[in-house]
Amino acid sequence: MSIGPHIPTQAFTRHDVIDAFAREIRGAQAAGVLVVIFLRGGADGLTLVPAIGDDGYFKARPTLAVESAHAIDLNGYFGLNRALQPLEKFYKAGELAIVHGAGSEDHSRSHFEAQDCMEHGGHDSVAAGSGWLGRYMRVRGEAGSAALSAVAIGTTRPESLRGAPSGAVMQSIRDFSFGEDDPAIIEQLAKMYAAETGPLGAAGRETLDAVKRLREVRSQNAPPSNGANYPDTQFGRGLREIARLIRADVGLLTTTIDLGGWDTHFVQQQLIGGLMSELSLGIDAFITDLGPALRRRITLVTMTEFGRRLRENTSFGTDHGAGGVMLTLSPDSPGAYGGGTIRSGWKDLSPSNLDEVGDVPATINYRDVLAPVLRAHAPGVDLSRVFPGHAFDRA
Amino acid sequence: MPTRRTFLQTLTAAGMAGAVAGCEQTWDGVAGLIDTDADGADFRPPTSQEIDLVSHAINRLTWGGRPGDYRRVSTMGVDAFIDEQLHPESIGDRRCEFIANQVESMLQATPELYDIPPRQLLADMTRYRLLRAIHSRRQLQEIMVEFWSDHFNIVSSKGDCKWLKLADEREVIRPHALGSFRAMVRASALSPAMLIYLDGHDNKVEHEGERPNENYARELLELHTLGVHGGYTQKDVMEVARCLSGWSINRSAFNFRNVPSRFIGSRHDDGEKVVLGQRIAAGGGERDLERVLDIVCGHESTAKFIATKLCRRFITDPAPPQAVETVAETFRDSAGDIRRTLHALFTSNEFREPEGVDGGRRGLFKRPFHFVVSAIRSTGAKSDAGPAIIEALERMGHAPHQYPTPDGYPLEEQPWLGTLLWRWNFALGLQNGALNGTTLNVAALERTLGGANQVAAHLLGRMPTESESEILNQSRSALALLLSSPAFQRY
Repeated sequence: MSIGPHIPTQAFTRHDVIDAFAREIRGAQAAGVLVVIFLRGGADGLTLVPAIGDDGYFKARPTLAVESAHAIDLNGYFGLNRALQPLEKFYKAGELAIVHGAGSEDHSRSHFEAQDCMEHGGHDSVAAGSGWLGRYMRVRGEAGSAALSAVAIGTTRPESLRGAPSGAVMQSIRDFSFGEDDPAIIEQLAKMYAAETGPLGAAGRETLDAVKRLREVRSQNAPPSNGANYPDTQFGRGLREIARLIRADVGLLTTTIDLGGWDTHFVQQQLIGGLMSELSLGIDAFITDLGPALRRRITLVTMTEFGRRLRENTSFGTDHGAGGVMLTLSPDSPGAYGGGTIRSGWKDLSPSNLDEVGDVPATINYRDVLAPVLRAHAPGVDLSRVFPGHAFDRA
Repeated sequence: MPTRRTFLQTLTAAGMAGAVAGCEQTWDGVAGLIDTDADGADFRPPTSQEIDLVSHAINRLTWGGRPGDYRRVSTMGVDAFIDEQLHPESIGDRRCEFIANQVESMLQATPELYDIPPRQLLADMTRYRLLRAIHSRRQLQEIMVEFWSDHFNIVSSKGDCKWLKLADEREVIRPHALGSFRAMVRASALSPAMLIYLDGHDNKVEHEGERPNENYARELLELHTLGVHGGYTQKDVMEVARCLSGWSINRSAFNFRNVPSRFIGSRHDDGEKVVLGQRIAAGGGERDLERVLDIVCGHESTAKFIATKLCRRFITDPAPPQAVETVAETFRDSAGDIRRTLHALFTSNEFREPEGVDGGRRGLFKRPFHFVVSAIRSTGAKSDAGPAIIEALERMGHAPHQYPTPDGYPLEEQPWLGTLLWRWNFALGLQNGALNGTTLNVAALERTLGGANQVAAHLLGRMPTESESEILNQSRSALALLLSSPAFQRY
């Protein structure tokens, strides 16, 4: 690895070299930005990706089953809900992988418990750190502790990011403004941190770099690139901010954003259609906005705390279930992570394949879906520290 | 003749607190009068180019020196100051009590807490912790409260810990923070919040359908006493779990909201055990707990583990081996007397002349809570320690009572280096009055200390360097710049 391009031609100090190394590390790893979308409330996998080739599906859901006409046939058995049509092209191109029957070992069917289990990486409070993303960032070492290396879009820090060396929470890039009333303070701080040796000095100089780049991004306030059209919702605006952060090259390595409202106990169809559109249009706009050069740097994963009961309830809704759907999208890397295919943890919906409550079981552990993504983003990462106690399925 | 102070104390005791509660301006005024330190105090900051021993002691034993602290400690002497702080019971702290007790829920009995929504109670607990750190004259006591809260960490969001965490702070952490280590471990082992957090309440003798739960036993050895490399085995963990089986919480129908701990003999494994090579005879019943505590608290590894952690907080990180040796020896010889252990630490050569930046005396990195409190204290800002401050702490990932795993917030600096931007924004917000509920009078601060240069010397604990002065002189936001400077991030 050469640091040549970063070394000033004039005399340089030790700090310059350290900073050059820091930039090099960031530059090398900027190849990967992990975008995690958490569908809070327990998204119904059997509506997102219905089993249109299974009689058991239509029997269990006399009013809520997605008719074949409302689904895009993927492999004769599974279909993609038409409300997710913007994602179809990614699947066709081998960039979108679908996992059915994914979930965690938590059987409480409680949102709180199941989300905590998934975000902490287990219920075992002996687990090494805290949230799985937090630990992932920590075991990445220095690169994971830059000011803007881990960003949660929203108002509160999600459990998954707990324990990150640096976990920023923001609704918009505006939250990062610094020194707007007194721009000189940035240069003055730069002088102070230039004289500081050790990790604190390096962290200060890195942070000031990020502030300057963000200032440029904010001042441009350009519309999304390539004609991207985000949904005008909190989720859509959040994705747009992520695209701006990636474009600004602030050292972002992982980001997480929520799309809530999937807890469809009651009149499911009225609730879920809009959410699916918001999800798919948002993702499509995000990929469009990033454009061909930047989109290849991201991997996008959706997860949810659990799927929903196969049998619909008497309120035209579904209750808390077990296995759900995870999506992995890796633009311009066809075939990566099983792109273009559906992997399912169950053969069909006959009773013997369901768990004791009558749910699609969570036979594919969410950690095993994430593991190859993390390995690709951080080669050599010690996954036993990210997910302690988990026996990884290398299949 | 009664002094003004005793007069005001009488007034307050007579119910004035109740009369003025809720009227911030009034109680703030009254509280100001109670603070007798203000009378004739000498506010001159340090004049040395290096951090002298006085500034060093203030940095390490307080959450940040207030205006006037430097002269007060200079006058009384560093040794007397250390002695004073090691005996919090000798320090009058009426003003702090007055202010902190405005958070009324903190005075309620545990059963009553269940009427408070968890979110509100967490905000109250956080605010209470902040107010005490800002206002208490028993600064070392408040530092040790934080230290032990990390050591015996309990996240307030798990089950009944939402309400019982406060009881843990009141009955386990605070009373023992400078007391007996064994007594604190014992109180923690029986603390209902801990019994819930680490599943001890579910630890039962093995028989059909029931198994011991070794979660607490493991953390007792790994985090609370011997340390992860302290020389225990998985077998020891299981044996300790057997010894502690049967300790649970009492949720009787009549006082289901009062949750004391209790020993249930039928759940206890009363067979013989061997813990760390020591035999515990069968039939010990609840006395097994005392035997386990004697063995683990008196273990060589525990002395070393606690000494190391204290040295990392107060001297340098990693801890200097010689100091660990000295401090561990005192811990051992005093049977875990925390006060005497800290006295040994503060009188060690390594404490007085530590290695590190700024002449060796600013080698430690302030965690966000420390940064926020020291910024408020040292600038003399008035703060309600309300939502704006709590939000800043949450944003920096360091709000009290919210660390999810039993190891507590990390001590090392690396995990906190990403919080600089939030610190700088906090500093600017503090100077510009953008933090709701917190106000700062920069002109008054300059007047009190004698000028802008003196403000710098006060905040840095030494005269600013030439280049620092040059930068500060050009700045419109000199105070924020000082609070944002590398030097202020250290202590």
